[in-house]
This record gives sequence, structure tokens and C-alpha cells, in this order.
Amino acid sequence: MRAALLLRLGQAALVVLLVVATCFALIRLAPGDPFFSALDESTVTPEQRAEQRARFGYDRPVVEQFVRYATNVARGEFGWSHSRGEPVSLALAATIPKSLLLVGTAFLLAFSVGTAIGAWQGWNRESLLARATDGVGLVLVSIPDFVLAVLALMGPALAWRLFPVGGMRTEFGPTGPAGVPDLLHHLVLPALTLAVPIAAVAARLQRAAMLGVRDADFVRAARARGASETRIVTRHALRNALVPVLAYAGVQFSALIGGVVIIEQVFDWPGMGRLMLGAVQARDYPLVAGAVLVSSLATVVGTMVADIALLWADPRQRGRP
Amino acid sequence: MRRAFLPSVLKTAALILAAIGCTGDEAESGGGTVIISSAADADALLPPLRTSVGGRMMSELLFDPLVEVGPELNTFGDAGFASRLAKSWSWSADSLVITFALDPSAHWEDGHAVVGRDVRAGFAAIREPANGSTTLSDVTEIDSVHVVDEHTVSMHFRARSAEQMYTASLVFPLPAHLVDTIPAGALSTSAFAQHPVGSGRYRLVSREPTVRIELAAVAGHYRGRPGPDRVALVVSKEPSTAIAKLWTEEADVFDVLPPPDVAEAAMHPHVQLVRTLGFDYTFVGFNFRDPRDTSRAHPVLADVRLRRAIAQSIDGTSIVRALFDTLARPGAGPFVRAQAAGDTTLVHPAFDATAANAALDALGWTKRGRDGTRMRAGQRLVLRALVPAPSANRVRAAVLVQEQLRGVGIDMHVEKVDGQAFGAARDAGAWDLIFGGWGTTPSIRGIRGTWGGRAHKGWGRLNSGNYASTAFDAALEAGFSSLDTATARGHFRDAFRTITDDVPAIWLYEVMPVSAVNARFTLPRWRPEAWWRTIADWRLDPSRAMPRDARPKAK
Repeated sequence: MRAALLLRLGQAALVVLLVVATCFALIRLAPGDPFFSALDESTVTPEQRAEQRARFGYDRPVVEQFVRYATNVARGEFGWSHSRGEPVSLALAATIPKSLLLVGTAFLLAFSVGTAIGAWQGWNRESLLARATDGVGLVLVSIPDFVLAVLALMGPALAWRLFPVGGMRTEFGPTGPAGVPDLLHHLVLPALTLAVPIAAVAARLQRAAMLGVRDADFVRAARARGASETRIVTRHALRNALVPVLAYAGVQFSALIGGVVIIEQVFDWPGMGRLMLGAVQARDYPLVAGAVLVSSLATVVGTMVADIALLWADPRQRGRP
Repeated sequence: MRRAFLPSVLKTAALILAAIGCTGDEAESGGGTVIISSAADADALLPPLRTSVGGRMMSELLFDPLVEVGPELNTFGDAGFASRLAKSWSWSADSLVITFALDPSAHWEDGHAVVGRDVRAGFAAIREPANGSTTLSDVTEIDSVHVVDEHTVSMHFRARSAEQMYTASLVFPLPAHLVDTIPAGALSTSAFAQHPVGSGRYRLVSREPTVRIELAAVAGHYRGRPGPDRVALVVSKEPSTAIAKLWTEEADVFDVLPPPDVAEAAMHPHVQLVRTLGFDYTFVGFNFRDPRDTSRAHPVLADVRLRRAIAQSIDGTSIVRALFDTLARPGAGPFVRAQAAGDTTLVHPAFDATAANAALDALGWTKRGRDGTRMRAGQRLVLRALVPAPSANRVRAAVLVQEQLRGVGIDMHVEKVDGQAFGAARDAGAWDLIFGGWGTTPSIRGIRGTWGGRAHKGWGRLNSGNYASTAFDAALEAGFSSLDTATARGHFRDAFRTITDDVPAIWLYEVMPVSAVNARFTLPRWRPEAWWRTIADWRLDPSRAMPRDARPKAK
């Protein structure tokens, strides 16, 4: 078990290094640089840009830039964000918690609701309501999250004014503990938009898995021992049927980190996704590298957590390499 | 019982949401809070460092200049200028020195008086090459700034010109007691750049880069207390979200509404529209150099007769109408109508497809290929047009121009590139046509960089199409060095006639921006080049005040 974990950690470190190196090179290959200003700014001359490039070392060979970047990162220095006018570490520190709040809420919402609904559907497969909700789930799976986002903006936000259009808080609204309801109010639409398609997939996976264990021997044995129906579902059937959903959760957490870009952009949520998109558009090299480093770390950690959860849920996995 | 369950849940949810949506703070109404919704952030808070519109907005609320061009935007002489940090000024006999008397009641936010060395510090920050100031090319005619005494400063010019006072207005004093300790070139990464101490009517409260900037009114300001108590710039990277906040009253201002949203605004009675003059012009530029070898003349576009024929092939009026309806005008030249030196009497090649076809025939482009494209000596008349993808208007304009050129047998290939790639490709000169645009200022001085010939020192650095005319440059130079306004205008008129005859571009359109502002504010005269400079004079209608307009509690 320990050897397997060490191996996974080594693989993870290699993946992170490769991802960062690739992005570092790719963003520099793209045309432009951090010192191209607004599209039609008529006062920034090519000479001024060249001077700025030289000042920050962007006129040096890419390999030399990468070695310098890696050395600085090893010392805990992520560089200066040109587009935000602050150190990259501050930019990351300001945005990571916001993305985690959004992604975490959506993740918990999606898998708790999706698993519960899927388990209920699988256990009550003859029920008309179960079939109907399964149909609704199929529709929700088919809708891309950006379409849901636009619908959410048009209806609940713009037309009915039930929720804010975007942002994390009401401007000049309550702050501190008094601002928590306001924060939750702002969180509803983006979190739901992220969660709904994932919950629909999780429900379908859970439903299929429950159907598989519904008539299994261990379920019949538990019923014969006189266990209550609730205990049979939660302790026996659901635990055995969780494996595919947990595997999906591991993959989905990584996907959420990447997929949150569009949702953050549409709902104006000031998290990592919006940060990363802005950094790429502005060719803010240090910020792109820092954001990619953090998101690849999050992906690796998410995958590892999912693996550990799988080991917990399915003892048969523990002996496998 | 069961049937009543769902409606009651919905009712409860609606009550909770209504309670959350209301801040519950019904304090005394003050001067109001102005929330500016924007799709772009302020890139910097210091006047010498900013390049974006957001940066200009915030830095000009935080810092006062010495003098400010008046609402008429007359940049010639000094009659049209209003005093700011400089209470008065006087000219030397040879007009090469302007001596400014600073307002003794002007103070920095930290209580220090605004003194002469602050003016020198502001000028030094522009001049420092490592700061990369976009103002640098505009103040090259200032030779030096000297401190005469604590409240007097003299500005020395290299040469006389009609726009010396305008040049002086571009210098924003910085607090020398704070910036003089910052190493040269480190201003942009200094703590001062992130938390500036200004002299403007607003002070910085907080800044979250790319999210929001909050400013508060300076109560004891030497120009009086501003109307609105607070101003916030709220950034929504998605423009539709930024505009939607205006409809839901989560924000109060959006400065340039896209045409479809101008119509949408009519459905929101709480929004007032302000139609104003634009400072950007868009053109289809011709490359005078061969894109494959920029040391050679362009194989076909170097011929002015061909450029004129292409200009005659394009119906600019119909394109403008199709794209903007009445929200733009056909371009008048390499300037905008709002500029005092702009000349609206120029005669451009008129749309005339018959004449264009005849001219192309006369130039030997007679044969037609299978697709109708003209040919000469086996060469097809194909032009590659560079178009910036982020500009939806220019992308649409390119499609319309492409269709019109096809009508006369010219095959235009549209190459859409993102904003960053557009700048790099524009400077590299690897294109035949470019759907370019330039942002301008009240002065036309930027034309030296955008259309001036590179043979003239310091000119033509952004003239990526390599248009060069000694007659044009000479007329411009004569205009800029004239002290008399009428003479200067005459020279500029000559310059514009020359460039019109040379057809280095088709002046496509000049957008007339429509800004949207919440109707609870009464607005003073709108400044088209910098509307934010009058925010301090906005007045709130108390009967329409919102919870966020309550006067903030003093800390």
C-alpha cells in the first residue's frame, strides 16, 4: 500500500512538471506578449514593448526562462503578474479559496443529490416517479453547462430577479458574518449550473449500480437476517454500489477544476478559472504558469483522493497494483 | 394538505430570497454610490503607468493634473483650460517656459501639501523608460521641470507649439515624499502603485485586481466635496454579464453599449442613455510594403490608382448603416470629429463601382478567373486582410467589404486573429489590408506615430502600413509648431488633403458611443473623452436612492 502510494506520488510530481513545462513553452509560442496593450492603443510603441520585454527577461531563450522560473518556484517565488499588478502568489491566494468554494459546493451538491436520487431510482425501479426522474436526468445530462448558465441568467437572474447576475457579493452590501447569506445567494446559480449535469450523470451511474446489487446474494442474506430496509440500502447495497460513482467523482473533480472556467466567466465568479482565462488572454506568462501549476496539482490530488476512496469502498482493489 | 405543500414552499423560498436580496440598511441617503460596470480592469492606478480605459478612469479620479482641457476640447493655446492643482500660470516672453503657481490648499491624501517637487516627480515618472509610460511620446516636447519655490514650478519646452498647455495637462504630479524613495524602474511593482496616495477628489479604499476597485470621496478636498460618496469599478470579464448588471440595477454605469443593447435599454426605464462623440476611428489600411519582403514596395498596392479603385469599390455608408444604424458615421480621415483639429470638409473617393471597374481594367486587371477574380499577367488579384477577432464590428465589416470587393473582381481573404496576435501581426507587416483602428485623444498629435513617415525622427513608430509622404509630414510639422490656432488648422488641413489624396486607407467608420447610466443620477455635461472626470458633479435624486446610496458611516 505504501509502495503504491509512493509510486503514485512520483507519477504525480512528474505529471505536474510536464504539464507546467508544456504550458510554459506553449504560451510563449503564441503570438503577442504581456506588453501589448489595448487593441487600438496608439501610444505604446514597439520600442517601449521591447524595453519592457528585456526588463522582465522575455527576450531570453525559452529554456533559459524556464530554468529561471523553476529555480524561483523552488524558492517559493512565482513571479509578478503583469495583468494584475501584484505578485502571482497573492493572485493565486486570492482566487483559490473562491474556486474551491464554488467547486466544492457544486461537487458536494452534485454527488450527494445525484447519489441519493440514483440510489432511490435503482431501488424503486418500478416506480413511475423513478422512471420520470430518470427521463429528466437524461435531458439534464444532454445540456451543456454553458447553456444551463445562460438559461439560469435569463430566467432566475434577469427576468425574475431572484438571484444576482454575477459576482460574489452585493456591492456595498453586508460584510463579515452578516454577509454569509448574501454570499450564499450569489453562490446558488453558479453552483447549481455546475452541479446539475454532474448530478444527473452520478444519478444514472448510481441507479445502474443499484440495479446490479438489488438482487445480489448479500442483499437477500441481509433481508433474511431481518435487517431493516433502510439498513439494507445504506449499509449493504449502497456501499457496494458506490464504486463507479466514486471513480467518476475522482475524474469529475479534475474536470470541474478545468470546467469551472466558463461558469466563472459567465457568472463573474472571481476564481481560478476566470484568473486563468484572463492570464492567457493577457499573455501574463508568470500567472499562467502559476495557475497551471496549481490546477495540475489539484487534479493530481483529486485523482489520488478518489483512488483512496475507491480502496475504502472496495476492499478487492487493495491487493491490485 | 399535500397539494398546498409545493406553493407554500415556493412562497417561503421567495420570502427568504427577498430577505437576502435586501440589505436592510436604510440609513440616511447621502450623495450616492456610483458602480461602474466594466468588462476590463484598471491595469494601473498611477497616471504614468496606466494604459487601459479603466486605468485612466481610476487614476484620474485618484490624481489631479496641473490643468485640464475644458469641455470644448480645444487643445490649442491656453484659453480653453481649467486650473486644477495649478491655480494660475504665466508664460515666458519666448513662450518656451510656463510657470505654474500651485494651489496652496491642495493636499495629498496623507495630509502633505502639494509642492513643486511633486510636479517634477510626476514628470520624472513619465520620463523613466523602465516605467513604460504611454504618456512618454506625448511629452517629448517638455525639456525639464524646475522647482522655483515650494508652490511654484516652471516647465521648460524644447520648442514652441500651439499645444504646449495641452502637453502640460498630461503631467500628473505624484507625491515626491513617497515616490522619490522608490528605486528607478520599480514604480510599477512598488507598494505605492498598489495603494496610491493621491490628490484627486476620491481616495482608494480597496482593490481586488480584475474584480473591483472601491474609492471614497475626499471630504476636505480643495475643489470641494464630491457629490457621490463612493465609486466602485466592478469588473465582469463577460461583457453581457457586465451589461446585465445595469438592467438589474446591480451597477449604475456602462460606458459604451453595443448597438443591440442600446435597443434593450429602452425596456429599462431606470436607465438613461447618453449619446456622445467617439474618440476611436476604424479604417481599412493598405500595406505599402511587400508582406513577404518588407524592404520592397508592395507589388500591387504601392500603386495609388489601385488603392483609389479599391476605395471606390466600397460603399462605406451602407456598411456603417448595416453595422450601426445611426450609431456611427463614415470615417472622416485619420482623426475623429470630436478633435478640434479634425477637418470634416475633406473629399474622399466616393463609392462608384462602375468607375472602380473601369480603373481596374485600365490598370491591366482585365481577365477574370472562374470565380470572377481579376487577373493580370497570370497573377490573381488576391488580398489578405488582417482582422482582430475580438472586435465583432470589424469582423462583420470585413465580411461586408469582402462581398463588395468580390463584386469588382477582388478576392479578399479574411484572416481573423486574437487581440494579442493581431498586434504582433500588425507590427510584422505580414498583410495586404488591415482592419485597424486607433484610439485618439482631444489632440491629433498621435497621428505622427500612426501615419507619419519613419524618416522623420520619432515619427511613424506605429505606422505599420509604411505610408510615407514628405508633404504630409511637413504640413503636420508646420501645424504642430504654429503658435497661432488658425495657422495651425490651415497646415493640418493641408496635411489631411495630402493623406486623403494618397489613399493609405479607407476611413471606414467612427462610432458614436452610447453610454448608459442609472436614471437616479442627474448628469452634468458629458465629457466624451473622459466622462469619469465629472463623476464628482453627479447629483443623486434622493427620492430614488437605493440602499447602497446611504452615506457610509465615518470610520
